[in-house]
Amino acid sequence: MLGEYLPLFFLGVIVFGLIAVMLFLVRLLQPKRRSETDLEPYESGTTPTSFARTRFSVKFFIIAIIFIIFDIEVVFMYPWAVVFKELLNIGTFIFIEMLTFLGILVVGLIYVWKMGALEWD
Amino acid sequence: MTESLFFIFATMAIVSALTVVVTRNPIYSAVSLVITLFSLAGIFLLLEAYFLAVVQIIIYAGAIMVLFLFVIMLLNPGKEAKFLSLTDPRTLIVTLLSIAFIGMIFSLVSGSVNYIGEVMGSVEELGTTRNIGLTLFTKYLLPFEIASLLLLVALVGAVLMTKRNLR
Amino acid sequence: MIDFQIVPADFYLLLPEMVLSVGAMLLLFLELFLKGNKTVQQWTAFAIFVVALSLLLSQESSGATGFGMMVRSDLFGQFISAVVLIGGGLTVLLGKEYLVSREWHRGEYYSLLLFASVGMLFMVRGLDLLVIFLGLELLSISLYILVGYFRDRLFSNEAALKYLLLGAFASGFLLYGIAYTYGSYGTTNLNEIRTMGSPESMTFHWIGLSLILVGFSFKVALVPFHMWLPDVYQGAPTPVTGFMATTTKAAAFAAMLRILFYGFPADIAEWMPLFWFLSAVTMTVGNVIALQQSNLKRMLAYSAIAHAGYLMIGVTVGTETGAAGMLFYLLGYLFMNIGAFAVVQYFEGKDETRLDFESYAGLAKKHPLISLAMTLFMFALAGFPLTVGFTGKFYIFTTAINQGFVWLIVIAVLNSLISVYYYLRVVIYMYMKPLEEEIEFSPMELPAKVALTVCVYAVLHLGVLPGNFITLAREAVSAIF
Repeated sequence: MLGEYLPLFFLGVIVFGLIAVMLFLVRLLQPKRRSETDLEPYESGTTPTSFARTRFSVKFFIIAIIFIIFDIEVVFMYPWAVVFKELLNIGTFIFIEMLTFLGILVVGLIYVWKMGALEWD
Repeated sequence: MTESLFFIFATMAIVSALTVVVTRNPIYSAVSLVITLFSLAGIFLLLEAYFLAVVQIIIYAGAIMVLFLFVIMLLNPGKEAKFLSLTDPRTLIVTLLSIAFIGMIFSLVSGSVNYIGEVMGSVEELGTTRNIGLTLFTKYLLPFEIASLLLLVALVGAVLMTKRNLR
Repeated sequence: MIDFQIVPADFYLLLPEMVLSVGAMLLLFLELFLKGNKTVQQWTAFAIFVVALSLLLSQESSGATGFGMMVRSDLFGQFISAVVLIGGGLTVLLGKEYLVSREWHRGEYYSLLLFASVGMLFMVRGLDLLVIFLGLELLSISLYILVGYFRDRLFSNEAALKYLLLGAFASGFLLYGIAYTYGSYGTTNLNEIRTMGSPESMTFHWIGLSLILVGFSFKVALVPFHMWLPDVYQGAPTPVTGFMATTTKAAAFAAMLRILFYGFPADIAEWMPLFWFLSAVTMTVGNVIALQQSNLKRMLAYSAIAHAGYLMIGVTVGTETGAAGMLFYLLGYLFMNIGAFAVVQYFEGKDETRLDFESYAGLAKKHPLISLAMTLFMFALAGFPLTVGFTGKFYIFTTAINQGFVWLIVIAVLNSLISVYYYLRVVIYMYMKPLEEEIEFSPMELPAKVALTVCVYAVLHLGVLPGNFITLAREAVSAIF
């Protein structure tokens, strides 16, 4: 079973190996001369006006956390889908229990929606 | 093969976990944590827990780390000040206690190494998505439903704590 | 082939939890669609608690298990669940006035109280370590939010953050312990662990159980793990503090008793010296630090630590009577502590400046009834006769002496004597110091009055006629031995 992952493993080795080789080559071949302008974000474009790392608004955080919660919900559906047909043979509870699970989270969705947490105000 | 892979992943996990704690730039800590989580996913794969490995990457390395980065950017902390100085007697106490603790755990576990091997052998086929589904939706049905309540409370809390302009 | 089915009896078993969860969601909808009708919200929440309590008490306590041995309906679970639900109901009654006067009344308050109660019911009635853990998490997450409910207040934020960080840490310990237990037994079900008897790996068994105990020690605030408690109790909204101090303690102790005594009955004697030490240290540290407090909420917080120490005596003894004493004391503690916090909540004023002893000076003249109630609660917490504080302590202490724990009880009695000093200080300030400034308190609203009366009545009733309830507690613990 684990052997099936062998190609994936070799892919990983090749990818990381290539990256390492390229980085090393860049180091080796690049011109040694470094000036101030070289290090600016836009070498020949706009001059930066302020520091890039400012504080983010908490609005991003709400969206992120709502995303994570529904992400976790979807993960539960993955094994459910795999065994759905098999378990349907011994009863409809497999359907009802996922419906309950989703129902409870739909309450959450309605709450989030009506509270305006999905709006960018 | 499996054994050497295990040691590669385990070393990666431990080294990157140490980096999380030691580095003083929070962004570096977060990225090191991603590497730790990936190494753990690798170990899960070696244990034939395929579903867990994938979930580890999707949820932890993907979603939760994004949240971590958001929080770091939200607070925008600078470099952390050095908090452990070698002259501080507390450092010595903490170090000694940690070494004692690790030694204790090691001496406890080293006696049961064979036991771990047995467990590793017996979990074959247990961690497939199908098997997880079969137990999760039959025997562990109730914990599964409680988990949805947990997620609902987390949603309510997130909105209640962070939403601006609640009426 | 998979052998699995759900029967209606499973759902019957879970009715209280289902009513509470559906009720909590209903309250969310009330907040969203029927905006701001505070009285409706309060009484709906109260009604849900009453319905859940009556459903719970109407169930047979036969020890039947449901959902593949995930939950168990026995008298032990019923007893503590009833404590939790009564506590929740009282907190609902006390909450509205407090929230309205601070102009931040939201339906989520009631909803989260209900969710927290669902979590505690699962902790108490769960027969599987996973259900107990999920119940604890449901409780904890609801409480983190409730503690930080006043999100514009720095104190509240600080309390919530501290509680979240340390609580999550404690949950980690608990989960890690459960994982080790699974490693040594191959199951997380307490029933199966009990019948299995000896684990496959003794090392993992001890590591696992120790980590589980660390997790619970955080939740009930035994001394090396008590650091979070004073700041959290002080920063949380006062009704929530009362709720946390009583129901959470009851649920966490109950889950601990069930895991230790039901799941691992062979180990009780081995743990005894450790529990002895924890108990003695916890009550001493709690009482000694409480002596130096000038803030009443903080004083009650340290007194909560001290009480965790007294309760720990019951675990140390490790017999049925010891556990029965704990159950009875938890019931009594519910009323005396919620009552005390209700009075604190009334006197602290809208801006919460009147929390030190000085501001209680001379209040007895203007508010004779409430002062009398506070006196009663303080006497009860100190353990004076005719109150439940006395009967509860007496029962636990005598049991311990009969089992030969003389020195532990000497420490406990000395501690009770210390505690008299700071409890009576409140009474002395109220009755013997002159009134410093005239302050008008708005009259207490009816629901809060009802709650306070219930507390006073229960403290006296359980103190004078404890017989029935002690018998009930003894019957209840026989379910887990």
